[in-house]
Amino acid sequence: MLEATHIRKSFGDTRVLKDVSLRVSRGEVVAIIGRSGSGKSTLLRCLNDLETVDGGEIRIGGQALVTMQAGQPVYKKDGERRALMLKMGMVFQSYHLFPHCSVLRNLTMPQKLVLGRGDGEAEAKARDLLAKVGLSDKAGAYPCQLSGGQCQRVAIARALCMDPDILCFDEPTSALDPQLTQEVLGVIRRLAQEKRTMIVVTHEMRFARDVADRVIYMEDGVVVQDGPAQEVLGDHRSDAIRAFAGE
Amino acid sequence: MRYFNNPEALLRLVSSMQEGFAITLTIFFATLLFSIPLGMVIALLRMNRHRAVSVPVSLYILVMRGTPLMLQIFAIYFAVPMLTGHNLERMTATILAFSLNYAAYFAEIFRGGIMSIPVGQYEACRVLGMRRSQTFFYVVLPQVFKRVLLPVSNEVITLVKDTSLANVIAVGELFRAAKNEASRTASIEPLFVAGLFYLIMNGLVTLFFNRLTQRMSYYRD
Repeated sequence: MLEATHIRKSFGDTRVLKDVSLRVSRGEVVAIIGRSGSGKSTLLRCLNDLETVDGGEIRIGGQALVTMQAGQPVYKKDGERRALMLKMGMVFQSYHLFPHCSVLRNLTMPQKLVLGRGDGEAEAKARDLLAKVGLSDKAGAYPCQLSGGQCQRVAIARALCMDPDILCFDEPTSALDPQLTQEVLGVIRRLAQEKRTMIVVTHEMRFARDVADRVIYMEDGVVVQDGPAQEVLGDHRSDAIRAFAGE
Repeated sequence: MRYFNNPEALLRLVSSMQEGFAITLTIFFATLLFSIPLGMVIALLRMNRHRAVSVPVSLYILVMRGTPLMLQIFAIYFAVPMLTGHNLERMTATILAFSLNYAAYFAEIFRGGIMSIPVGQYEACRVLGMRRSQTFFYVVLPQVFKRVLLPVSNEVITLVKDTSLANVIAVGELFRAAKNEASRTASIEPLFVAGLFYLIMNGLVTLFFNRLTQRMSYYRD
């Protein structure tokens, strides 16, 4: 489904990703954990084409986004690149809803502009997904009238409206209090039960253990551990994970 | 006092200034019509990542904001015919000078507005697959509109008063009409009447922008 190999990325002199590889299969939920500055968000941003890599290859559904040619990363041409990235969906830590649009329009506008869906189809899809995240009654509200948890659920619905093959979350609950966090994690949990392919960058260790099939632990721009959630976070977890969890 | 204690004379004065007022309104609306779209184009060119584009545009803005509008009106009215061999109508020269000058101010206001839109909005559009033009017209511009209302209203109010500068190339706008009347009758009162015209007009401009601000308050950022 998704394959990233030997990803390298630097900001100035800081090497944020040093040869990171990652595979995600269909229906798999992968949690990426690690300290702030370990490179996990940057990795996710590279996978979503929000950052360009300095080296390495990324394939999504078998199609190459970037390949190495003569030692240099070469990206697909603009049009194909945008089309390929439609397979990916992304939910940000601070939602990035469109403040000037109602909840419903946040969900319908991208469908109409990007997928060319008609009003009726876009709205039906939007209402369907609003119901799914439990916000049917908020269709006419504006983002400023919603709580953080509600905003995040709208953002998840907005991403799902585009029918992505893989949904990515960049610390989706880091801006929320514990109660709102549960509200959002509940939605993600339900998506996992539907066997949606997801990559979740998170600080929620318990959530990672309960929901993820696989957990990747990053430190200093490299993958330190990559294995089944029970193995990485279970009773036999490594000293590195124990130190990270503050035990 | 010649007018303020004589309602009949005052009415005659006001009606003699009518034509000047119409010309003032023409300069005002024509300038807005041309300078706002032009200002948006200049703002985008100013933000172009190629220095071959952004540097000349910065220079343009520097000259337009850095020299007196009065001088620019003279320059366009007298220099353009010298350079091109075609005479310019007084009104054409006036509206041209005002539009070029105000576009520079609007450009900087719009640029500030565009730069104030959080990068997250662009990233959201990007991961949703929106094109750059779609991002600009559907997400950035509507939010910029709200953010620039206040500084734009300042500029529009200044424009109302600046229209009086057109009298330097003998355009018969409101202020010139008042000045002529003042010297003809050796009274300063017509100038105060003109002042009242500007004040009322700016009262209306203020009202208009208050309404617009209210209409845009349906969302907060």
